[in-house]
Amino acid sequence: MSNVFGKFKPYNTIIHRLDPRLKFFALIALMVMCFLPYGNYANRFIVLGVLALIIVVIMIIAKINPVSIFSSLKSLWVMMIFLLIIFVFVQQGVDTSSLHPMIIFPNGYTLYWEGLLQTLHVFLRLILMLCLTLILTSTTAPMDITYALDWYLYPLKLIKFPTQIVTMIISLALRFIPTLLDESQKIMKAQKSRGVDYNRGFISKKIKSITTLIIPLLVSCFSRSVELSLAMDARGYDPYGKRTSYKILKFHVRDLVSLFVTLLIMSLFIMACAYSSFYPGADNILKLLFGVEAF
Amino acid sequence: MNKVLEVKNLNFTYDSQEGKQTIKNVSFSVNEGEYVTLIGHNGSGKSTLAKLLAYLLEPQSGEIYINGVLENEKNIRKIRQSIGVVFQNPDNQFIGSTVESDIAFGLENRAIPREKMIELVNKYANLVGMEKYLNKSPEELSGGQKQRVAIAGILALGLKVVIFDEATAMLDPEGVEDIKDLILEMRKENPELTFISITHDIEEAYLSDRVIILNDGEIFLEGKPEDVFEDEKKILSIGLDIPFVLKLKNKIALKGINVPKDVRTIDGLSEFLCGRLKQKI
Repeated sequence: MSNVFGKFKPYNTIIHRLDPRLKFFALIALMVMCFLPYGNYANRFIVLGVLALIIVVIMIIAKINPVSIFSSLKSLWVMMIFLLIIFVFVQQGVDTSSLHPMIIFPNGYTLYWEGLLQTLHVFLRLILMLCLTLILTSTTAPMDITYALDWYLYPLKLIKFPTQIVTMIISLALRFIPTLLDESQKIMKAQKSRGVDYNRGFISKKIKSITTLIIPLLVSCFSRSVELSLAMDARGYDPYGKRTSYKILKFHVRDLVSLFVTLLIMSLFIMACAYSSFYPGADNILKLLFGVEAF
Repeated sequence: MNKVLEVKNLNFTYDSQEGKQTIKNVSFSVNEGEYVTLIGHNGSGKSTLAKLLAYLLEPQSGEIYINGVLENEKNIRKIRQSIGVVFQNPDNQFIGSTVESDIAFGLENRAIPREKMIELVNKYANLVGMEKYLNKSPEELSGGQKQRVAIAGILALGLKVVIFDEATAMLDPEGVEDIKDLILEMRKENPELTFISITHDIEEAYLSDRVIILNDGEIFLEGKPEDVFEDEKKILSIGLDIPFVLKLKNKIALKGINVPKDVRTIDGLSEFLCGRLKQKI
């Protein structure tokens, strides 16, 4: 379980040292950029290609292997095939006159190139989003993400929403993930030694054997939570009381620079989006540049 | 002597165990700077008593005064500033994500300014020997180290009374020795700090200032360890054992050598015997 996808790895790169609040903002900003409408498919692929390039560069700086995402997420391929079936075989839109036919079956049923392109497009978007999230989670300690969240929840404090309770819950949950993983491993071993087989059998049998893991885990979770609450109580935790914070987030020059870079990238993408939607001639420029007929 | 903790006619029954009283009419007091051990077999009500003392449970009847303050819902802030508990399971009391944030947790609750907090965290991390691990997360630490962090977190609060509720029960022998040494060091460092240790460890009890033996929720025996453990049959009758050093002393006494009462460690005993040998020569 040591090499879980997206697990925080404590390297000391510039990406790791960036302020978590900034990373959070950049994540959301770049995710939105994945989903802006960039006109026709040629435009979309060029824009997403540029975004992919930026993401790959960030990944290399952060010492994440960009190829690892494919090997660590095998289910991605299943999803790709699923999307392909949906987009290629399910007829899209009513007006098919502007689409480019790929295969025409004898009974008149047509598969269009657009279906294939759309699959690729959605797939690319998903992969880019995954990469972005991966960058955040593998370069930011879980607790730092909580601090960032706490900072972003600040407006809710003004309407007397107890944000500190929410962040305390999240940070405790994060704190106990490794402990409970450890515990589940122990329970699994204990049950295996009593003859439970987690690996073989039909799904119904597997589900049955999983209950032998889930129930002891839940029971121990409850007893842990009781002890934890006592320990917190003993150290004077008052959820509604005023607390100071040991850890404070500092905004460095590098964060400011990165913020500008993020905003710059954002504005470029927004411009590309605006350009392609308001200027119909965009297709022709692409044709001029790459000599391809834009879809 | 200044009485820092006073317990008067304490009674307690868990809701789930109707009819069976866990704590029956317990009264005792603890002086400032004293090191008291509470022993008893499983189910004798030791841990319940610890929780009652720290007001983590509310007694059905009876009164507890901590530092002159009556323990009730109204005085909860004052109670928390006087008494703290280190629990048994090192994992379940590690609240922060790193060593430093865990030590700081109690300080954050008290709204102590950040500069002061950093100073205290460093001071107490040093005291328990965890200064090199400040950035480590709990899964990177051993049970003994986690327990030391928990102790630092409690000590940093500057309390009057610290309760160790079987704080060494889940540790390996090395960890246990570490924590015992730490207790001695702490008492040297801060002689005003009162320690109440709830334990199964008879040897530890033998080295404390005073022993209280609980049996079925009642105080069975109370007094200096050398007096309490004197009546071997009585101790054995409630399922407890007597300390190894005492056993040894009893065996030696059969040979006609009377070891003084205040010799309570193996080292002390061997020193005494060597002294005797020298005299003879």
